[in-house]
Amino acid sequence: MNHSLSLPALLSTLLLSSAALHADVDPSDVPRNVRHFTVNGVEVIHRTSDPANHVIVAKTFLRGGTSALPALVSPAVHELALEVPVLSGPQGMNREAFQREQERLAIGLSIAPGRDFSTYTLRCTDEAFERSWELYTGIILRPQVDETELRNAKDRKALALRNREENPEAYAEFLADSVFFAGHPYGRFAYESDIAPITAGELADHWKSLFQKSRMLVVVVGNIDSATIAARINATLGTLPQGDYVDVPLPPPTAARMPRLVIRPTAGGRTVTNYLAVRHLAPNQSDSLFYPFMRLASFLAGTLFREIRVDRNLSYAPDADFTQARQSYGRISVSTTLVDSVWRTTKREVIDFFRDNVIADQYITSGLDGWMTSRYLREQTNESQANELGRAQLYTGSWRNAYGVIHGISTITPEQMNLAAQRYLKSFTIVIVGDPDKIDRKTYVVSDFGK
Amino acid sequence: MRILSPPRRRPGRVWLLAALLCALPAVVQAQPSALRSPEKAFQRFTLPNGLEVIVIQNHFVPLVTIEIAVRNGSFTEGPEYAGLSHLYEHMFFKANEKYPTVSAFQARMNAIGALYNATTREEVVYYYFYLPSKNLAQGMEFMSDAIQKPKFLPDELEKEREVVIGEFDRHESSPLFAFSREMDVATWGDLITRKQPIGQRPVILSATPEKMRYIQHKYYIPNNSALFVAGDVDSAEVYKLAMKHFTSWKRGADPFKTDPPPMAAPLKEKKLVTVASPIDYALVQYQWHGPSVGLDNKSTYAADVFIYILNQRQSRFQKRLVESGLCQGASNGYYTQRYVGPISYSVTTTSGRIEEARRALWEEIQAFDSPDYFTDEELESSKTHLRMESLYESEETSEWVNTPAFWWSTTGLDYYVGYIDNLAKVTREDVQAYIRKYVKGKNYVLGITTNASALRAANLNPKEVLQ
Repeated sequence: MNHSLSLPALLSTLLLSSAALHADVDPSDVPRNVRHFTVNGVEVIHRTSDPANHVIVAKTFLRGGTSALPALVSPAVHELALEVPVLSGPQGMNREAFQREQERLAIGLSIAPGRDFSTYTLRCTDEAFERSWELYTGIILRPQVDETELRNAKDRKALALRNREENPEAYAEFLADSVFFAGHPYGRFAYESDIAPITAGELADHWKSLFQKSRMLVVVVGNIDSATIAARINATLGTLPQGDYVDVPLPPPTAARMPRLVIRPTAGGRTVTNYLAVRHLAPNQSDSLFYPFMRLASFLAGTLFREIRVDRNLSYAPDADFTQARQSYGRISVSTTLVDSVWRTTKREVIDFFRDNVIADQYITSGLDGWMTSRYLREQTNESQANELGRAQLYTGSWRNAYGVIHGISTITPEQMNLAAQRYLKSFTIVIVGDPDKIDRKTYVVSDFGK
Repeated sequence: MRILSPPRRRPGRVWLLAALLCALPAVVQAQPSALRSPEKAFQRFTLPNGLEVIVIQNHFVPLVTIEIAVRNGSFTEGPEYAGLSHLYEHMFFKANEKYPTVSAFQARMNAIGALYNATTREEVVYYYFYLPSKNLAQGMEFMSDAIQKPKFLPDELEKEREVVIGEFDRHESSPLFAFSREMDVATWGDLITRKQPIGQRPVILSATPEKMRYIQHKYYIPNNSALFVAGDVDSAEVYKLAMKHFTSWKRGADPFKTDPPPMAAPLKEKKLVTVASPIDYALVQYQWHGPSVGLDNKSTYAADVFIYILNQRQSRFQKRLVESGLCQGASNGYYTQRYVGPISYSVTTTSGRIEEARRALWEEIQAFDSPDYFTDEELESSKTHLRMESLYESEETSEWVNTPAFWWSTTGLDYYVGYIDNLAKVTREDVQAYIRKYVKGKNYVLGITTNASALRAANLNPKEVLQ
C-alpha cells in the first residue's frame, strides 16, 4: 500500500530522512509504505499494513531509559513511573471505569522499561482505534497515580526483587550483567530497599519528565492513513512540552574490559545443574565491524550448539547471541552439570577457533536464506515491525537500516570477521551459579582472555 | 525442542485472513472465510493415506511454516515409556535415510534457510520448520523425509538421552519443580506419567532404538498425523506437493482403538500437599479434575469464559485477593484436554499470610456459582477478550500455527472451527453448571509451598485446611 501524505495545512509537518540511506541498505529491501515525518514537534514513523490486518499498534519510544537516569533516581522509580499511571488511567476518569472499558474494548496498553529507551505501547483494532487513542494519549497528557495501584505495584516489585536469586538461571544472567557493567550506566538496577520510599508525587514528576517531545519517537503500524495519524498526534501529543533532551555519550565500560570470574552457590543449596553466563564486548552500530561481528555471532551460536550439544552432549541449552544497543555486547549461556568441560570446549573449540582462523568466504556467504527467515519472522506482526523501525531509528538515525541486515552481512570479508573475533572475543566476564565445590577455578584462568 | 507445561489457559488462537483462498480439488472441504471468525479461515483436505493437510494463507511476508502434528505425547505413555515421546521428538532432528548424519541433516536445513523447533505436550507433539516461501517445495520434501524415515542410530540416541536429561535438569532446577511434581502426583495418582511430558529419568536413560521404533510404528502414521502449511503459500501448490511427498507414507492401525489411554478416575478424597521450596513468598493452589473434550464440550467453553471473567482487574476475584493487598497475584486456569483437563486457582502471597490468603481464596471459590458473582459486562468482556486475543495472536502466523495443531490433536478441528461461536453462547447458567459439576463440593488437591521455616511456622493442619 502506498499512501500519499496529504496533511492539513495547520500541521507543521516535515518529511524526514528521505535521502538518508545507510550505505549497507539495498534500496530494494526497503518497503515503500513507510513515512517518517514530524507533527508539531513530534517525530513520527508510520507504516501501513495489509488491509486484511485489523490490528493497529502505536508505540512511543522514550529516549533515555534507565542508563540516562539522574544519579539519585533508582531504576525502580523509572519502572514504576511507567507502570502505575498506565494501570490508573487518565485523570478525570474513574480508575475502575477505565479498567472496565479497557477490558470491554480489548485494548492492550503496555510498557517496557529499557536501558537506552523505554516504550509505551497501544495495541487495538482499527474499529476501536479512536477511543483507544483517546485513552492512550489521555494517560500521557493527564497521568494519575492511583494510591491502590501504587501500593500493589510496590508490593509486587519488592517481592520480585526479594526473590531475584531464587531462579538460578535468571540470577546468573543478572549477576553477569551486574559484574560486566559495574560502574557503567548499564549497571544500574532496582533493589528492594529502593521501593518503600517511592511516592506518588515522585512517579508523577518522573512521568512528566519522560513525555517531552524531545525524547519521543512515535511509531504507528496499521491499516490507517498518515493524515489521520498526523491529525490525532497534532491534537494530543503535539501539545506536550518540547523539552531539551539529548542523548549523552555513554562512558566506556571500564569493568567490561577486564576479565572476571564469579561463582555463586544455587539458592537453597541444592544444585541440579550449573548455569554459566558469559559477557564480552561487541561492536556498536557505527563500528565498521558491526556486520562482521553479527555474522560471527551467528557462527558462534551454531558452532557452540554443535560442539556442546550435538557432538559432546554436554548440555541441552548452549546459546550465544549478540545484544545490539548503544553499548553492544555478546552473551554466552549454558546450563550443564559439566561446567568445566563446557567452558574448556567453548574456549578451545569455539572462541579460539574463530580468533585463530580465517573462515573461507564460501561459508560466510552461504546460509543467507536462514537470515532471510529470521528477518521475515521479525516482520510478521505490526508490533514487531514497530519495534524494528523504532530501534533502527534510535540506534542508527535511520529507520531504513532496519532492512539493512541482509545486505550488511552479505558484503563482509573473511578477514573482517576474523578481525571482529580477535577484537571482541576476549576479556570475558564469566559467572557461574551452581555448586562451587565442583568447579575448578583453574579452568577459567583469565590471563589468556585479555590478549 | 521444548516441553510445555499446561498453560494457564487454553491456547485458543485464531487467524485473521481475507477471502483469498483459491479453489482446490474435490477433496478439499471448503471452509467459509469470515473476517471476524478467523479460526474458520483455512483449507483442509485429506490424502488417500489419511494424512490431514491444513493450509493457512498469509502473504504479508514471504515466509512459510511447515508443521507436522502427531497424536502422541505423554498421554500415550505408561510407566515404561515415561518421557519417550519427548525423546522421540529430539530424534526427529537426527539422521534419516535421506540425510544419514546429523551434519547432513543440519546442512540441508541451512541450505534451504530452515529454522526449526518442536514441542511435546500431553496430547500432541509437533515439529516445525520456518523457511522462505520460495523454498516451499524443498521444505515439504525435507519434512517428508524426516517424519517418515528416521534411523535412530544407537550412538545418536545415546547422546540425545544425555541432552534430554540436561533439559530435565533445567526443569528440576526451577524452584517450584518439586512442588509442581508433588501436585501432579496427588492430582493424577497412577496416571502421573500420562500428564508429565518431561517423563522420568530412568526411563529416558534406558531408552533404546527398539522403543523408538515402537513409537514410530504405532503413532507416526499418516492417519494419526496432520500437516500444517502456513504463510505465503498457495493452497493448490500445497496440495500438489503434499500428494507428491506424503502419499507414500503408509497408514497404520488406529493406535487409540487398540490401546486407548485411560481416563483419570475422579479424586477419591481431598488432599493436602506441602513442599518446602527455596523461595521468599508463598504459593497456595487448589486443583480439581475438569471437563474432557468429547465428553462435556459445553463445560470446556464455560471454563474458558470463566477464566477471563476472573482475570479482569475489576472482577470480584481480583479485587478481593489482589487489589485488597492480600496477595501479589491471583490466577486461574483450565487446560483443555481429551483425557481430563485440570482446573486450578492459585494465589501468591507473603509467607506470613498463607492461611489468610488460603481462606480468602477458598471463600471466593465457594461463591463462584452465586447468582451475582460476576456482572453481565464481565461475561461479555471475557468473550470479547478471547475473540480479540485470537485476532492479535493470529498476526504471528509462524507461532499461531501451533494453535490449530494443538486443537487438531486434542479436540479435533471441528471443535476449533466452532470455538469462538460456542464461546459466544456461554451464559451465566452455563458457568454455574460448570462450577457445580466440577468444583463445588468435589474432591480437590490443595497445595502450599513456601520456604521451610515459613512452612513450619504456618503449622498447617489438614483437618482445618481441607474443608
